[in-house]
Amino acid sequence: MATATAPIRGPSVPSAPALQAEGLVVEVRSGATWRAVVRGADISLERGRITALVGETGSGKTMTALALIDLLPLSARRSAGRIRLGADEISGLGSRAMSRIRGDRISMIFQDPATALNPVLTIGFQITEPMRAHLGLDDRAAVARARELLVQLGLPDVDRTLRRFPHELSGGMRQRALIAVALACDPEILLADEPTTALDVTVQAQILDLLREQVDRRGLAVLLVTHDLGVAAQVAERVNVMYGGRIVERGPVEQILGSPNHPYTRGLIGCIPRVDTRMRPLPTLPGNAQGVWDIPAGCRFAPRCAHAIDVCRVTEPELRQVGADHASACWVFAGSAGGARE
Amino acid sequence: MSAAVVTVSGLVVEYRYRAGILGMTPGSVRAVDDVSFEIQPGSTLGLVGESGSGKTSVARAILGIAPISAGRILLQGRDVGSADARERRELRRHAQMVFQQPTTSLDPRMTVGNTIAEPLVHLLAMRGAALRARVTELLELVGLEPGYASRIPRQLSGGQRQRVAIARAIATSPSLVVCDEPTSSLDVSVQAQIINLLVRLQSELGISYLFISHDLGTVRQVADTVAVLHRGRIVEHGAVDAVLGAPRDEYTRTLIAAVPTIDRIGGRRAALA
Repeated sequence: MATATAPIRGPSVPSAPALQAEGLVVEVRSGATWRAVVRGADISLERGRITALVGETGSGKTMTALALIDLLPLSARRSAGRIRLGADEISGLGSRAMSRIRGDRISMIFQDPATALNPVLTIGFQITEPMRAHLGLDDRAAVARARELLVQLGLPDVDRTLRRFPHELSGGMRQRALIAVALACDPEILLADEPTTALDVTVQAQILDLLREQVDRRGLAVLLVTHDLGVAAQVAERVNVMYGGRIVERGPVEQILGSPNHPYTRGLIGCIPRVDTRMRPLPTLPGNAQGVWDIPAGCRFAPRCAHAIDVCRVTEPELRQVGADHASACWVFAGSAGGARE
Repeated sequence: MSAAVVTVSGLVVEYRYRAGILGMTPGSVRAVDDVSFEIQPGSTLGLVGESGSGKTSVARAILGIAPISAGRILLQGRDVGSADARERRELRRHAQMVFQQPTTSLDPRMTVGNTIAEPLVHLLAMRGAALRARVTELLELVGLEPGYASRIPRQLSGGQRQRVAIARAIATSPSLVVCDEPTSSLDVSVQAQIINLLVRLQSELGISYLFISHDLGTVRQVADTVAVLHRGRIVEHGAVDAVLGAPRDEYTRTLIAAVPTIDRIGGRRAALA
């Protein structure tokens, strides 16, 4: 298979994080006031690694991702937090400098390739446009590079695909094309927000394989935002579990799925319907996450938690180490009440 | 032959379209091709397949809203294809549907009470106190307080909306409820609640389900038998444990292998190695 003209970075020994965000706070306008929907999130991405950010509707996972690249909707703002891209502090940059970074050093792919691609422009134009804009390539060089990229991403009949419009491609092919647009300038960071949610399972498996392959080949650092723990299990090295605007547990994927600490993580894993056994009734988490913003104090999960004690309703727990590289924010299982295991 | 709630034999669904300049070139596409199955009272058939496999067309044909180009569908012993207007109305009592998106399947301006009352008024001509009592009873059945009757969909969570849609579907005591991806738009923690509700209602009321889903894990939890659809045809059909536990068809195996389970950590990483 042809390789891209872009330099190929092999998987590297994790050193300094490729991207690091600390204390991110995102607020959303609600009438005359601002309400925090991300409340102090830390995210660290490493080269050649996929880091998953897992959460349910309204957990703040998408807002966290958007805050990293300054693409929050107008009704939202990042009110605190520092973001470093490699050695560069980017949290204070203006919109022009950020737009240079987006597409060049950081790219993003979204859930629905049908709406993320421009319907009136050909696939070829959309892949070569960032190359011309960010890398200053001329048409010939850009098209040559786009061809190689499409071959690499397993799109058939490359020349024809370049001339096609998004609606002429299947969902899986559109998502490949969108990934090609995102990788056009060989970014260091890729933010992928539910990249396979709109796809059939067999196509989803292909796209996850493709994502993994590109990460290994290019040394990309990926933030995979997903509601699906199964998807995270397939491809990610690290998992952050988000609830009520906070990361409540984080660690290596084997730890998070094999010996989860936080009651929310455990509850979430428990209620996934399994293909291999029938469970009657299925374990459930009581209630839903939508009332989480009305909770004035304490752990946001406490009202749904079977283990909650008094302190949980008063003071919000911080993330504490519960194992090597594994942290959880829970008074009962990771706090002094239960005693940290390490 | 048997007392099946629904018997589908040799079903073909074809859609006609016109293409080309001024629609001069007529064509047709076969969405369902020679599909046969039956559903016994109080049991669930899981209909599994990817987009374009024809699963929704099968459901629509049973409900009388897709063309039956060939074959026959018997619902409660009556032929759906040859039903006249009066018979169709009667059939609607017996076969109801729950859709994927409760957000769009519920009228945003109608209260929960009126939403649930609608099929009772139109199909059973219920009125007054009996109607109100039945609505309260249905709310209770799906786990909602009577006070929810005066709310509108916007004031409900996704899971609560789906409960309302289920209450509306079971209102006329149908023998068959077609569930088309009823949990796909819900969060995992809410999905499990809705699955448990459907299972409980089945054991209490003896409803049969045609449960359409691309999610094999969900199908395993609710279905007694499974039919796997691929390009309009059933490629494998049998007891849920057999089909999902020991699949014989190549496509079924591909489908099962593609499910992202949390048991295979690094599954797609390993696939590449």
